[in-house]
Amino acid sequence: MSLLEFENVNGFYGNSHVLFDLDMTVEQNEVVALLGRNGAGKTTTFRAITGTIPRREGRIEYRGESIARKSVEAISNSGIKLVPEERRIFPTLTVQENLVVARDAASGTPRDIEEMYEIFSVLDDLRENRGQNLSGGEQQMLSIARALVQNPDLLLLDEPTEGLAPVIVEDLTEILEDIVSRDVTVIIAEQNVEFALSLSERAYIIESGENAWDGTIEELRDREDLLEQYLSVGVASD
Amino acid sequence: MVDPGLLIDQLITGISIGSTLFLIAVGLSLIFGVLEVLNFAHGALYMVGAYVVIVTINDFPGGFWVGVLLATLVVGLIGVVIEMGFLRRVYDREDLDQLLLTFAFVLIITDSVRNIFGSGSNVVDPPALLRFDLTLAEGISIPGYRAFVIVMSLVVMGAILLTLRVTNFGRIVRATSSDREMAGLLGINVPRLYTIVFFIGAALAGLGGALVTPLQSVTPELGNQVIINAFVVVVIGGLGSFTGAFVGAYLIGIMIAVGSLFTAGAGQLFPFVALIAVLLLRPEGLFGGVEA
Repeated sequence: MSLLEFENVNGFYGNSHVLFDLDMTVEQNEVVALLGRNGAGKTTTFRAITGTIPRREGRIEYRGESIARKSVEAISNSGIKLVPEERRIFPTLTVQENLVVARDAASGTPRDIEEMYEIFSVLDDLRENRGQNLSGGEQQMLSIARALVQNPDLLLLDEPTEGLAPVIVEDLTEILEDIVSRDVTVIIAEQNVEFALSLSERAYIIESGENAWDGTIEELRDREDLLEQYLSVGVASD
Repeated sequence: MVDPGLLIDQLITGISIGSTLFLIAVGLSLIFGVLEVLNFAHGALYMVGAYVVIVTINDFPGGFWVGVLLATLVVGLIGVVIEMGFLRRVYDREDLDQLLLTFAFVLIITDSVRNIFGSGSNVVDPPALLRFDLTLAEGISIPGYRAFVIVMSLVVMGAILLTLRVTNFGRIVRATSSDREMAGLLGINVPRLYTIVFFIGAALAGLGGALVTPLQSVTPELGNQVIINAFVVVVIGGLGSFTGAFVGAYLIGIMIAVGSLFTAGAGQLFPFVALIAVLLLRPEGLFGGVEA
């Protein structure tokens, strides 16, 4: 049984149809890259998983159980946690309060907040700072820490490197390498292809809300045509 | 020149008016701050709170204090029925639909009360415990019950700030009020939280209505009389801000009382002059955008 299975998933915002017969399978402890241009449907795919899209159809199963009609909080409580593209730190809560709220809302056994400060050492000195006073990189770290403290089974990272300085992306890569080596399944949606490929084992490419390609990272590295066609980038092979 | 003694008297009256304004505005502000719903029915709920006290005093043992407790609970539970049965179905719709729904409850509640109790006015004596005058200084005194209501408004303000700042529930409320969807994504049961917050907001309306009974004659129109000033207070203070509601309420109360020394009809005039000034100069309200 796969951890997450998508079959013929369609998504809608009001009258506009945005996901078309999407298929996707994610196994336990895998790290999967979800690639595609801006507007290809990566965030919408995450919205279909987390239940925040207004309407979704098709088979969406998590641990063999349908989550297609479950509420946002019920899906979250089943162990799926999103780190959203906009980070969405609670602006008037301090760093510590952002983590405490998440820890106390966790349905299973949460992780220790102090452990988060060890992983994300930049946050350690910012405990009493309000979310709105953090830099983009600090907010990104806090957003990941907030999801991680809930001890997720499936972590969805939406464009974690977007808008971050290269040196911060390096820090983040190190942290995420550590995280993905643990007992957690991860889907990373990214436009920063090199970053996504360095962490992942398999990839799905989507275009205009449809499956365009899927396979292993090794296969993808040999297919510069795909990267150019769907992601408008060339990528150096190892 | 106005006599200083008279000025101080009016200042005290203003503070007393401010405390009752705060007790009605605070629940309105709480519900707007978290649910983003402008609850027109808040005044009607306040009025129901007053009637619960009257019914308790007339028909049940226990008198005023039991009435205050019952008013808080009963009106809170009416709030739960409104939220769970009706309001939660329109959160995703436009603001106008929400306004129409809460306005429908104003009409339904007000006419129901009128049908049951008639349009006549009801008067309640202050509880025996508080039938004294508190002397503040030579020649300056305040009725004990008015002093009690002022203290109650401070207690409510303190309890709300403390709850929001230091309790787990308060953190969840602050998080959810700033980003409802993100709160849900963390597994917070947002619909249940909304029901609890609406219960608290409605219960505060019931408490406010109950406490005002010894100060004001009670008719089915009570809610309609106070709701406009409550909205003025909340807009001046900044929608959703408790500090704003607190400062706004006392500011308006003092303006009404002190203003009446200078011109007749100040009670009607001053709140709206202040409202217009705030909307022109600081449309987000005095404390707009600042949490708690």
